[in-house]
Amino acid sequence: MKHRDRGKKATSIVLTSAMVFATLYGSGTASYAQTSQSMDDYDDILSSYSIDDSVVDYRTYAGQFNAVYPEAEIRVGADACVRYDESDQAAEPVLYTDYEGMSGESIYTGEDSLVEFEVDVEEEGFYNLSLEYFPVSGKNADIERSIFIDGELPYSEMALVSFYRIWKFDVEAGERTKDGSTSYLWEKDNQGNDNRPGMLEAPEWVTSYSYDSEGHVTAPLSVYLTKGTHTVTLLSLKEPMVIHELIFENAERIGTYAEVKAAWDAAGAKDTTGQRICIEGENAAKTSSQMLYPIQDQSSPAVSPSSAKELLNNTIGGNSWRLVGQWIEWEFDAAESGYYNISLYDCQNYVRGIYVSRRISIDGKVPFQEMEDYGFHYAQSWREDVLCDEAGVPYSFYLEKGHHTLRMEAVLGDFAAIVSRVQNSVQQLNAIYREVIKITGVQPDTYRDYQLAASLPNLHTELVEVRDEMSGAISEMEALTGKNSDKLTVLKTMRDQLNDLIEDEEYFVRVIGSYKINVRACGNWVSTIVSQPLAIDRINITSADTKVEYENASFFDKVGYECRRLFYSFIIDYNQIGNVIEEEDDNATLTLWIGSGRDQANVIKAMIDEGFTNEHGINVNVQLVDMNTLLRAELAGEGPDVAIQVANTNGIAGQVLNTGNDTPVNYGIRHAVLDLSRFEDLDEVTDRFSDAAMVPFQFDGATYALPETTTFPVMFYRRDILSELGMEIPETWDDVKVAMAVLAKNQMEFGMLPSEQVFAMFLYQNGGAYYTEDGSASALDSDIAINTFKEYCEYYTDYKLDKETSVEERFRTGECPIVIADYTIYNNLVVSAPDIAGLWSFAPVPGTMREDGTVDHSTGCTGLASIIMADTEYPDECWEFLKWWNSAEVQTRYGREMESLMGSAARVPTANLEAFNNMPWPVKDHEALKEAFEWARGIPQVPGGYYSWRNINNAFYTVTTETDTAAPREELTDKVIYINAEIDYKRQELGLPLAQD
Amino acid sequence: MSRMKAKEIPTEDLLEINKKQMTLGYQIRRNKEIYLMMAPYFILFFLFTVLPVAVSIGLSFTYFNMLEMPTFIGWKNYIKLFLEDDIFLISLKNTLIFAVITGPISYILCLLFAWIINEFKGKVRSFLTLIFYAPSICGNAYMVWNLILTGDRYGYLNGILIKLGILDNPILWMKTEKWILPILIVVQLWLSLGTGFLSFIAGLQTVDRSLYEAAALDGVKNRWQELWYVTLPSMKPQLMFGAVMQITQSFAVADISIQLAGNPSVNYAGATVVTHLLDYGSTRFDMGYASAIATVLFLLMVGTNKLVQKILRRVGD
Repeated sequence: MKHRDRGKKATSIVLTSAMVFATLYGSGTASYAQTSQSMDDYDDILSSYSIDDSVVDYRTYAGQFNAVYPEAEIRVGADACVRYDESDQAAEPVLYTDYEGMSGESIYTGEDSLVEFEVDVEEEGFYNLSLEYFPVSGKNADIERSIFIDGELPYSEMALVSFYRIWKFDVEAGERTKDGSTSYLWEKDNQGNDNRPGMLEAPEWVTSYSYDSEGHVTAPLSVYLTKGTHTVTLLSLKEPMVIHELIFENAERIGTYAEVKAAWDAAGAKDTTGQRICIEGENAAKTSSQMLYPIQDQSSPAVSPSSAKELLNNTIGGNSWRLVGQWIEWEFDAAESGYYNISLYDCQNYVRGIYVSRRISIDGKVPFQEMEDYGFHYAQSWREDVLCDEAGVPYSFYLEKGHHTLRMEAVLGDFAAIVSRVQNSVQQLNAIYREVIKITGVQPDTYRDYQLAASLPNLHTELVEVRDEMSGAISEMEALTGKNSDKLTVLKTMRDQLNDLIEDEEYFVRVIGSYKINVRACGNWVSTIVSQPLAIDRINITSADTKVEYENASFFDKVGYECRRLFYSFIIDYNQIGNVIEEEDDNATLTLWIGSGRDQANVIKAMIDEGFTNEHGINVNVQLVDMNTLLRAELAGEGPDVAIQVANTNGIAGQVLNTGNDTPVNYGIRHAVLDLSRFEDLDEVTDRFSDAAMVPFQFDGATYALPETTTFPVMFYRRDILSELGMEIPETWDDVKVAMAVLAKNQMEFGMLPSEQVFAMFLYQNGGAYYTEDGSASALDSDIAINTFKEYCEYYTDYKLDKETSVEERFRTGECPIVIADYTIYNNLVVSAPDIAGLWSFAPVPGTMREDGTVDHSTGCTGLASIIMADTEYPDECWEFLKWWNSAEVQTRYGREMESLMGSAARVPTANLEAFNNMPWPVKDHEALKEAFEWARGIPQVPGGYYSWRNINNAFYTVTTETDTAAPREELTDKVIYINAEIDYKRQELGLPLAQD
Repeated sequence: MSRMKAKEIPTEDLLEINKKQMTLGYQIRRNKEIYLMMAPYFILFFLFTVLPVAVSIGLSFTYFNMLEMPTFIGWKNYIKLFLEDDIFLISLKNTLIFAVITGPISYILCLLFAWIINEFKGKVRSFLTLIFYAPSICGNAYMVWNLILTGDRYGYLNGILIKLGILDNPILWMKTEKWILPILIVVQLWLSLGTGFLSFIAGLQTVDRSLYEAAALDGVKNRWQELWYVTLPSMKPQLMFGAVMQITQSFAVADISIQLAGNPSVNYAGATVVTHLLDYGSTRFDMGYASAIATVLFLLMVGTNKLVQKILRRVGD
């Protein structure tokens, strides 16, 4: 990998110079003033800590030292900053004085930066590390830092510590309710539905402990510091932040309810009477994430407000409030000092068999221990939850008269320890799997005695270890959820299988397949348990003598409500999104078709109404349609003016494509799509995209579409396995061939499924082309193309690569430690493969050595398109719209909105280069991706072009299935005749000149 | 009275009246209740069957890319279809193999199973009927074959064969030319106990019991004779219906080919006339040509139906 090599070189230079300096100036003056490692060194630590046994986890770390918790508080301000690097270069830190109302100096740390502080410790012991920071605006993602002490990673949880931003709804606030909570004047569309409010950052100074970002440790993290001077290094992974102070202290112990209640009683607190404070869930004052916005719930008439016809903002949370660390904060006024009970009208029908937990704090403080993680059990629909102890006695909360805040934060609670146990086990189980398949292969011969016990002497102890860990997790689970939780089955199955294997290791040979499935199930188990969704409709804070009544909650109310909903379903056109503009309107009204989902359409419509229609005075009606009907609609004259997120003719709209996008050119040459080159500023607009992305949409001097997304393959690799095998990351295909031999020796594989983009990758790297210069004939009969095809086939004949099994699956188990796959898989792996979190990375695809010694990493790319239909009445307005939609600003906003809606799995692979840079990728991954992006090459589309891939594929399967008789050269040249015939036929049809013989 | 009056009318006028009564308008007016009752079906049939067929025949003489107006090109599409299009020949061959194998086999199977099931009584019969009919009601039930035929070692078929030691390496069933057609035929047969089967069961139950008695008296010796001389002739309409369904089904096979082998399938090994038609109609933007294919397929189906009708007339002779 080129980038990494450069890094290594830079590292060595920096190291040498550091050593030279050290000898020049002598050492020992300030032993810890600043560390000598460069940012690259730190990156190396981060990329290898997960496979480095010397980096322990927090529990082990905490057990290594005496449990000493000094009372001293150490505050380290910006003046103690001893080093600031940006992008691997020493830089002058930007210091602010009295920034945003914070007196004293604060330091700005960029998104690719490193900052070091010097700490003097007087008393040895554990200290909680908290940070006083200001979340300055960046790419809207959580702020992520790695924290090192004296140049070393103290424990693995410190490799990624998240600091949240603060969000509020971008909507006009109404008057405060009589209970003192915020209220909002929701904007409505002209169908009477509430608009989902946008999210706005509301930054303020925050003091926050560092927490484990995965939530496996619920308590704030602490570090053990000896007496003397230490250096604390904060390495930026994502997003900038302004730091005022680092605070080392020990959090005050929170008393149990009994203790706290006794203290309140002693202070003379009394019950209040007749008080009833009601906070609507959707009237939250602040949230920690842009995913937490009001939800429009229509599942019950009891939620407030409720309507069978219109969608109203009436609840908050739900599935988007599932990630550990997300919080929502409400405000309220207490009219009387004294005791109150708290009850919630909420819904937890998301996870069965376990409960979800929330840390509940009032005025920024958890009132008593029981509120550290309060559990909400499963119920089928909305219900009232009174915060109470196990016996059902409601907790009393003492509130002073006046204004208060109530915050609920998702935590893992009691499940934290179990989850971390299971997760560790999954990693061990995967390691065992790999060890075993090194001997047996993935499909062992059941009649052979592999002597597993002899060849893997440690296997037995490893199995026992992991079984014990599993049993521990199971008994803890049983204690929490009872013996009958359906969430237990997965773990029990795994444990039972381990028991069998411990008895006889050779049994592995028979059950290797189901073993793998069980391990996978455990991995998925982790991701279901860590999700903590809860929806909240109302929070009632009442006196003990006041009963809360819920209206419309009876059975008959529900029946009536459902009948009304059924009735309205005949009246409401659900395909129309948002404001519907009637034809009579004076302004131009465009009809826009969107091919993806309802969520996307809602976001786009809101953005259009707010940004585009306001600015340009052009109305847009948004319709959600299946893009496969575009052709028929055009035929009937019922088509739209503009269509976005258009996929290839037979593809599923809105999804990532596997083959080139042929729709714009095919429609264009048949005069159904507008040629954009009639607009003078087309060139300016196309500059927003890479040339590669434009290629498939241009033909014969015309441009028929603007690209919306660009996707291309990259190489994913498992760091842990490669280092286990002592392998380097392959840089060229020759390296890959060597790597394949090493992998094969260990019964592993290189993963690459045959696809148009993989073929295009080989073709372009060898300097070939799909078509001749003018696109009038196939260029696949050239020597380069034929040799490329031969090479492409060899991977599947000589090297026997798998042509079918999903690479993502095999990547997760480690069967394929190196895979070539579309870069959007990144999001899937991040979100849904917690069992390999931190163990993998990616790089541009392997390249081909050119004659001048440089390496060509070219790869094919594809993407969705936006088109203007030719029969539109308003071409100029459509063009305005397209320019607006594909602008960096709008694409960035769209990307962020999508992410706020559905989480990082929905990250938009936008084609707009500037917007792409604005997406919240982690800095390192973004660099790798950007490098890969530069190598992306487009696959041109010509009339009859669909015949190219079809025939290459036919030739490919003939060669790979009839390995004895079929020769690549003959097969391909045969097929090129067909391709050329089809191209000629289509060109004739369209009146284009034929290729000259 | 009326007779008297009729006598008075001269012959020419009578002829005139007769002529009037022969006209369609008069007939409709006279039998308007019957026409009224027929109207809903007839209108729908005309709109959704006759008209499309007519339009399709018309379009087959044009070049029509669906985005621009069609232009008349005469017999060109047919010339290309019969003289230049290799793939049409492959697809026609596949379709005929399909029709010849699956048509009769599944027809006989349907009859056989219906006959056997008919021997059971009451609830058991209904239950068995449901079991056999199930694959064709659950629309895309054949998707389970995707699981069975997955081309890697995790596919069921590959897994079992490897386990039994018959295969060393997994076979890409749906990507290997020689396997595609046989597998499609098997899947089609599995699916074919459809409407035809159901109508046979219904037919078997409508046979008049007394006929068997009479036949026994007339000297029928065994069940086969009973089947051939009594049962089948009395359920001719159902046989006819079943045959028509079966033939149209086996000629119009496309879904399973597209779902299992893809469209286009590898080297067109799974191409049928309908997939070829769909290929032209969608991916290749040539509705005129697709219509020509459709017309040929239409004629083919009509011809086969006539043939089958002739054969069925001999049942019980």
